[in-house]
Amino acid sequence: MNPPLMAQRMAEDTALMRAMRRFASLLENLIAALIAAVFLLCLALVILRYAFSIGFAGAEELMRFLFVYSTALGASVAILRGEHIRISVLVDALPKSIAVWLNRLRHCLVMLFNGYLAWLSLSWIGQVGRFRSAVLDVPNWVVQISVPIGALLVILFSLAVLVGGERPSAQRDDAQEGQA
Amino acid sequence: MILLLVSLMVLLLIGVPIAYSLGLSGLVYFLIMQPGLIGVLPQRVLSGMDLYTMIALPLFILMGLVMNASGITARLIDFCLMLVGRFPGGLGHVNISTSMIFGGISGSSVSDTASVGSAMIPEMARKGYSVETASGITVASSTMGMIIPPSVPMVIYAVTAQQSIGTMFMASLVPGLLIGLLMMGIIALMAGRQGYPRAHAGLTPQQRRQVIQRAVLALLIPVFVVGAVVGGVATATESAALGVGYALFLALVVFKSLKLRELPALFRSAVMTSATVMIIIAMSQLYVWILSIEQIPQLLAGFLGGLDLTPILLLLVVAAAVLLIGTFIDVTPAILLITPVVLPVLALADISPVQFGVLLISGLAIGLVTPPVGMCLNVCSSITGLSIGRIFRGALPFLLANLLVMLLVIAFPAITLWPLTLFS
Repeated sequence: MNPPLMAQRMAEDTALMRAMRRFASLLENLIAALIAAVFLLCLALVILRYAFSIGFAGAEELMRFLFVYSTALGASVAILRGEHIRISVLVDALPKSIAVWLNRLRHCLVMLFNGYLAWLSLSWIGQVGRFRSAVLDVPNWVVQISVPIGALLVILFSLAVLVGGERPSAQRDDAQEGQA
Repeated sequence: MILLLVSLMVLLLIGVPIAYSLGLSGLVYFLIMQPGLIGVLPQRVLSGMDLYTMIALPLFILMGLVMNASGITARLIDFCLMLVGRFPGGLGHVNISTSMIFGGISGSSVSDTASVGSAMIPEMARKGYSVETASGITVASSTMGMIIPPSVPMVIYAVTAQQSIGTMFMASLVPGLLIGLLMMGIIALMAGRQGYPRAHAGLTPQQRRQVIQRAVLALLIPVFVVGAVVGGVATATESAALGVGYALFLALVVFKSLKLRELPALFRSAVMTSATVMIIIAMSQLYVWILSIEQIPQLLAGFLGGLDLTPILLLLVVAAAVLLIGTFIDVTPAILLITPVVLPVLALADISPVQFGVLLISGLAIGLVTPPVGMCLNVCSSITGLSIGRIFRGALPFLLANLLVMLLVIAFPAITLWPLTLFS
């Protein structure tokens, strides 16, 4: 995005949305760091295995845990950025007034689901969270808690979009390359 | 089950993200039909995110982004111009062959359309091609991006169908290349009638050597990545990490076309794309579970078994359904929704999941270039300013190649299965 356009958009933002966007950027940097760690770990594993015949038993488990967090947090940031994959053909064809209400309904439904998921997660973690992982021997709740954390962040960002108003997302050109 | 499907359709149509449409409709189903099982919902969601093999996904996306940002498109175009530019309709051949190679490097049809299209369409228009035809060739040939390995959708299918990623990569190689060769055949036919010129590179032997040197290191990526998986040297995840390492080495050290400070943006982009796909995969676990509770694949198998279809007819029916679904639904959700329903049915008819996987991805690739939701059409439209309807018209003759290869995959399973015997 070019700087003048960004400045204009920032000026249009409420203080709440500015704070949310800063928070989302922080999260995005965090999950980028998680994936960078996964990449380095994976690369190191192959090199160590072939060059020095050394293995690291917990590496796979650690990479999985980091990946789970990157998904849970990334999915929440995608709400604020409007990057989730959805079918918008019908909504786009509707009159703007109806589309606005459908978008509000959409965010409410997403919040409803994630609220219920977070609530269910708490009793689930209470029941099985104390068990420990197979290799690294960390308590399962360390990973399981990513589900309610992600769900609560989805609610937070959905609320921000509802209150702050939706605007055309600053979607990356390549935002959906993964699927295609 | 009707409740699940109706609620899913309504949620999708009102624009709820596909991941949460799956989650919400699953939640409605469990609340009404199986309230005793609802406590397992978070565990199912977590198990859908906790997949070691899927770590390959952000890494393959990252590899494509790094190579794309390193400016390989111009190198590949020069290389293809040298190879096939001399034939009638030269630039059309260059466009298609560049996409064949680009597909093996980026694994993404959308980035292929964006990169190759922005470089090739204006040049083709200058040489007498209509913008409609040039755009059509670009989008149609970009479908190879998700068929020729390494392919991100193929990774998603392999994990969903519990197949080896290396096997799927090998199986999709010949159909992917066939599509490219058939498209080049169509260009050759059109060139005669439309008078498309040859595109002489006019290079001296020394310049040829330079062109090869500039392209060869990038050309090694698919060989390197797919070879590592197929050869059993590394897992798909490790091979993706090796691919990223190699791509970074080329972009930062050899080509010097990427700055270190540009890397965080690429990592962020890759991980965000991956997260939006992975959350769909996580939520689709509820859908898969409900299918199993309701024994839908068994019911479907019973119904189709009653029709007494031959394997070829059965695959034709499935292919038609895939083409229809691919027109309206994105590639990832389509893979996740179709595979668990259809695969058990095909297994009863002794149809290989590998053959089906190639058929599925080939069919869904066509969906990327068909209105109303063809993502490649939208990208091409933003490059050329043409309506997606006109671009689609331009692409139609070339999509015959895709359809023909789908039919060949159905009629001759060996196209997909034979390469596997070489490495068995």
